[in-house]
Amino acid sequence: MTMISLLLQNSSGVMSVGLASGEKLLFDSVSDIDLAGSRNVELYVKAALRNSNKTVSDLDFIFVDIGPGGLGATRTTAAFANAIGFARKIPVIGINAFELIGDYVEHLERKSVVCIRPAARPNYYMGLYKGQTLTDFSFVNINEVKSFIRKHQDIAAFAGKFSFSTSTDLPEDPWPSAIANTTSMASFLRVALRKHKLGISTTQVFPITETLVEAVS
Amino acid sequence: MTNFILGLETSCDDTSVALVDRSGNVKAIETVSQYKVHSEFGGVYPELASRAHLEAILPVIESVMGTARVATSQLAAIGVTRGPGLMGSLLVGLSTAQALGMAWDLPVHGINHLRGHICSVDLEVKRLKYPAVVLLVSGGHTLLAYVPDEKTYELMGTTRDDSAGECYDKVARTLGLGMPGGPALDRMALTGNASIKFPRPMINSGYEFSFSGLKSSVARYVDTHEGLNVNDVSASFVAACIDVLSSKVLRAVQDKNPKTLAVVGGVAASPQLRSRMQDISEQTGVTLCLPPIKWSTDNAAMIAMAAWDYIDQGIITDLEPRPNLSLDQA
Ligand SMILES: [Zn+2]
Repeated sequence: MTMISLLLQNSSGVMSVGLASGEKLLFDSVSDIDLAGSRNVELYVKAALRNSNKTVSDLDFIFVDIGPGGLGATRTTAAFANAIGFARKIPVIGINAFELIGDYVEHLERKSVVCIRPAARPNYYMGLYKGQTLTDFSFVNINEVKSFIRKHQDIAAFAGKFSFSTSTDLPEDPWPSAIANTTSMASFLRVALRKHKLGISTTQVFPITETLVEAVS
Repeated sequence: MTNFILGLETSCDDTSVALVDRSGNVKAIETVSQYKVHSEFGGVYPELASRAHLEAILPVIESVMGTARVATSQLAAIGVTRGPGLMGSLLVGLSTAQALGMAWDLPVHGINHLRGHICSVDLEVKRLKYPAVVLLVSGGHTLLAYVPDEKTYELMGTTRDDSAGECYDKVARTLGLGMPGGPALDRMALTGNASIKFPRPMINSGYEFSFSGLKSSVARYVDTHEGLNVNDVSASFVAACIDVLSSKVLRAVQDKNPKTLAVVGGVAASPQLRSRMQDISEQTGVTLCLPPIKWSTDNAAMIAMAAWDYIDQGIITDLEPRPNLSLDQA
């Protein structure tokens, strides 16, 4: 039996949903123009199932982007996924957004990837994605972001979202620009299948942004 | 047999789940208070509230369905609060309800929390006779509603700033009585003398309320008086608050001549308010209806009860969160 996986991405604030049978992607919401601009998870999931001739009882796994990123959006998707998992008694597995965008950009650029997204002001999340692994994932202040960027600027590609508004934040060298802030469903599925192979299985997910609470001075 | 509506309430700081049948009997209810999460901050923090709802909601649903031994096949629908309330908290309830509706193939009704409060009057016992005047006073709301029949909800007046319950909590904090402050304040007031003349904002005009002036006036008094008598300050504050509420209720009763006067919301627990409402009932002949406090404070049974009403009346709503939903909207 090939496993049917639902893939939910929302932490960038733009929702995208995929449905896969084993390693084959059956549906990618990016190609469904009726969904463009909608923020209703149910609409996306219904479209994914309908277009693939599946029902909610065909689902075996749900993989969810749990941020860091937009808290409201991530929480909405997490609540939805948790409830489907609860009702259908299937695993719901959370994936760090930096693994998702890291995998995507690493695939494109063949380089390690520095991922950065703003957290509660004035802080940031950052991490380094290299060889299919996320390291140095942390909740940091602007100075640490700057030195991390300087350290990796020549060897890494950049993903996520970052802009530093005041001129005093600007370093001598120009900021690199991010290549992507969302992942493709092909990339999402790759990461999901790797998690599955590792035997990672949970029944509920929670946005990452809320579990890292250490204060940054 | 599809006997029950599963009600979900997550608009503020309590996660509540209930199963209610067509006649308003509450088969099971469980409410998880976030009181501990918020007490150290001295208020409700939206991010914490939303996170706590996400953690609590499915375990509470599982527990309620399990305790009641109700299978999903016995559910007629899901009713979930869509507003008013905190955005992040509403989203958790709505998103959960949508997903459960999809997975269990059940209709989902987005419910106005304020109408839920009014429907709470009929939980377990049919109490409301129309036309009715309803006073809703809690930490989240202060409003007077005219309900001429089971289909119509008219907002007579609401607060322009703080709710009465908020004002109670803030004054209790000013006096060092902790949180939640309402019951402590009422207790102190019982043995105090209402000798301090605090303002009674808008007491003679219309049905709108305003409590922020009263709150600051108490704070000013506390700041400028040393060795004050906390019981007297409490009694004077409560007297001012109850004077405002009851003068508007009396006017509404005289104006609308209803069959019932119902008082709901957390502040309905106040013995001072209850006795004053009793006076109004005796003075005007209106039947006073004070449902049990457990149905007066935020709970999911009232949301399920309102969902039955929505079904009866064919009210269709969407499942978008409406943080500022008003009583006249479904
Ligand atoms: Zn309420």
